[in-house]
Amino acid sequence: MKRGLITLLWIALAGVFAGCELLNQAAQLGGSQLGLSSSQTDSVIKAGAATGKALEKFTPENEYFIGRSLAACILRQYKVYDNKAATEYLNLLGQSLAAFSDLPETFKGYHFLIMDTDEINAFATPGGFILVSRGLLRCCPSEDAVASVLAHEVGHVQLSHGIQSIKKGRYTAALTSLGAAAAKTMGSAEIAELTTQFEGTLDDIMKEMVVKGYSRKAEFQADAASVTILKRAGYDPAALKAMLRQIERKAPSSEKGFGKTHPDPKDRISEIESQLDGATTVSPAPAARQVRFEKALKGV
Amino acid sequence: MKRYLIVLLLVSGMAALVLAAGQKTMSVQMEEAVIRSTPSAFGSVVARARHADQLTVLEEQGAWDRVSTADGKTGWIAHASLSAKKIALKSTDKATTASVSSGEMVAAGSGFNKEVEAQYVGQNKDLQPIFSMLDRIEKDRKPAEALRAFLDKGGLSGAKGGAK
Repeated sequence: MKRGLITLLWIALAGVFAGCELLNQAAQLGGSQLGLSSSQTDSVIKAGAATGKALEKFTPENEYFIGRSLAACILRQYKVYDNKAATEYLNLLGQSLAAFSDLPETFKGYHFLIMDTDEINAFATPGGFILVSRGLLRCCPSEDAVASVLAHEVGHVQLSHGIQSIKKGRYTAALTSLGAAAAKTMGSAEIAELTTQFEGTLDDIMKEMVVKGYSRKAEFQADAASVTILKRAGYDPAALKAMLRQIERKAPSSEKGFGKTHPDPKDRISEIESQLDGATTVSPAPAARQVRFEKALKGV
Repeated sequence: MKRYLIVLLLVSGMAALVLAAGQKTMSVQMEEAVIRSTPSAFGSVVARARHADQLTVLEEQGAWDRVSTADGKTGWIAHASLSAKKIALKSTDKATTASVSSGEMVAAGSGFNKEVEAQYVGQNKDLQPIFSMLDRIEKDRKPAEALRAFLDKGGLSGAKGGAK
């Protein structure tokens, strides 16, 4: 009996590590064969399940709906720059870079848009809508420079910085509402409650992302992700450093946009320095790369 | 002798269970996810998996998992595309509802979803044309071949691989 209990515990423990329902079924089966009562077997399984339970979080589908509405709210303030060639180029470049990130796929993929403003700014919403301003694109002297900006934004998506900027209390309340709503058919009261949570979630992220800016730590992390993505894709990571110098000249901290919402470019450069293996200047890109960059973004 | 045989059977059974545990089952949590021939976003397409499809994970390598499909196809999928939880496309029956309530299962399309978005847009009618535009933009997902060609033409070494 004792030996049987030890065997059953061993099987249930393996089930916890594997997160595998099959093993819990095996524990049930083994329990009856080893002469344990069903309550003893259930206790073992419940203990295992409790130990292995993961923290709840938004699903990629939930994040996608948050990201879509955030993009819509941002585009209420900044109109879309309607330039087919430039947008096509940006999507080929951006979607290629995203493929090299640690989050190569999102619920409905990455999409890149240009905001029709002189302001130097960019936003990345959960789920993968990435918005870059004409002002920022005008600062870019090469494809490698544009790539460094887009890879930084992909980094914010990969690292869930948007979701992390939701206030703790709101996050818990939203997850509780989502959990309750998931188990039943939603009526108008449930939808109204969820919509309230949804609006609050959007407000929190908008305040952090658009008005205040992410934390210094989050920006440094996105820069580090950018360097990694650039290296994997074959772009010159020193382009990010050159781009930060350019932003320092063109977007002083007193101005709306990047200057106000991002840490001092000097601090950002010193943070990525160790990843750049001593590179000080950007290597010249092949002619074909520079030609297509100029052709696509010339008029921006 | 008989006792040894029982012990041997038990040990073999447990070994089989441990092997099965190594090959955990995961669910696709993206609307669509591509299973590729190599652990890279640029590998050729082996199969396409849909939201809630269950796949058996055979091996993990960085951001990629080697998986097999229900019909026996094997290939690589982005680790982030998979969830350890089962995903119910519709929670109509009692057992599924109980699993969703207990947190063992996730219900697709629940929570922040189309209905909530519709309610939100109803309260912010000026956003309607922007959402229509986003719907159009979302359809533009570049196939891996187009991305690989873009990288090739730009003389980018990454065209040979992908995220590892």
